[in-house]
Amino acid sequence: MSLEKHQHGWVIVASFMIALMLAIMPLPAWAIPWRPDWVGLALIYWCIALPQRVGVFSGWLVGIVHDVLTTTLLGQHALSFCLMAYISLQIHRRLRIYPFHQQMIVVFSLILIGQLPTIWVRGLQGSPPDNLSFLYVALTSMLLWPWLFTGLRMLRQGMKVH
Amino acid sequence: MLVLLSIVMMTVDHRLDYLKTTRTYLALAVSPLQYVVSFPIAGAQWLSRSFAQRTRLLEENKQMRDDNLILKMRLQRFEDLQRENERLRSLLESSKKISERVLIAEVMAVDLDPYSRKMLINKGEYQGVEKSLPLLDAQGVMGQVIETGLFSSTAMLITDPAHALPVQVKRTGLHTVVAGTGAANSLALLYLPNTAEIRVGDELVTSGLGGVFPPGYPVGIVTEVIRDVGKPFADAKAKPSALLDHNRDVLIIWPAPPPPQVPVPPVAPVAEPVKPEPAKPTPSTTGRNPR
Repeated sequence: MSLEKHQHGWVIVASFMIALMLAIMPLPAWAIPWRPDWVGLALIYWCIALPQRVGVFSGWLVGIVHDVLTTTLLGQHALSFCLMAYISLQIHRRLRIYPFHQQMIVVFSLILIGQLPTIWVRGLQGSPPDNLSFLYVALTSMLLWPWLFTGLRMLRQGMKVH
Repeated sequence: MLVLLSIVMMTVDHRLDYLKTTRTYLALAVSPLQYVVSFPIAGAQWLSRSFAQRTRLLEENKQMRDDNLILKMRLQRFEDLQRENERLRSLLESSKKISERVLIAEVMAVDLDPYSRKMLINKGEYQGVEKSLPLLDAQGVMGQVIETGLFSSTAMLITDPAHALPVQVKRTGLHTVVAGTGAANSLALLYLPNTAEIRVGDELVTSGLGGVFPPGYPVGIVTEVIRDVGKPFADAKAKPSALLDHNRDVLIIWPAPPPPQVPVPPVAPVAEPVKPEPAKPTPSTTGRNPR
């Protein structure tokens, strides 16, 4: 995210900051499994909107910050965000022109792929998931996607971030 | 490349200690985010406190004064007992320090990894917090510090699936190990023989073995004992005494140093270092599944 060459890099940074804050915001216990993957969603959006600026490395950096914030193993979220960023970069041309419902399906699977490293790491640490709660994350993230996409696009066009 | 790097980092973080300082500095760098998130909730609580009704405040004040009186009265008795205890111990020539340093910390309103039971507190190395210090509230043991930053630290609760804690049944003196289950309000008792003398309602207190937790603090109350003859161990559950989920203030305790000498070992062919540990109280990071 070089700030000199392009304009308004701070918008991207700020959106990630807000996503990270939403990711550690306290929620009531019943809502915690349903918390959407805010950072993942923001990452997917920026990857398909500005693939020349946000990519695998940005995803990795944000993932490390996420790991530090949530005290997971360093690299756990970094790995999943790398995967998500890589796949969204590969398909960003198609993803841009998809209608919302198709985008939502893709986002659902992307978030699910992002959940995989978490599940593996938990399995290796000796507490494998005992229910399908990782699906909830993908579900809420998917339902949130159209609003987030529209909002971030308006922000991007309004701020003229290229 | 980065995928490989992530995997290597995870392994290093999991097995070794190299990344600890990196993590500390990173944590310091991102702590403003945590403070920003925590601020509105802390602010709202502060507001509700400052606009509380006068009558309620007076009532609370009276209640607290009563409590204080009762506690003081108890303390007098306790001090007397402590003196007696020390005298008896000096007669037995086993010294034991009871002085413990206490620090009150606040829990920050920040959610961490949803799959483990941890919390962030607002005191860190700057205030002298160290790794593996026990955390308590007014009702009982909450957990222990597992990571320290400069101004904040992370604590693992006793309900975390990676946490185990040596305890004693208050009624019978039976030693056992309590492990977290990952559920908010449930603890599992490990390696309990089917014939063990334990029943629902028994109080569990820390036994002090292992040296992390000071002895004698309440841990939980047994809620369920299932004895299945087909299984090697009885299946027992307990409810933590501490209010793990709805606490704002917690106590960090610097335990008194453990007694320097162990009574004469019955048979000691090998000179073993003093370490009477039947159970591992530190959070074991290995893949240990209770059953």
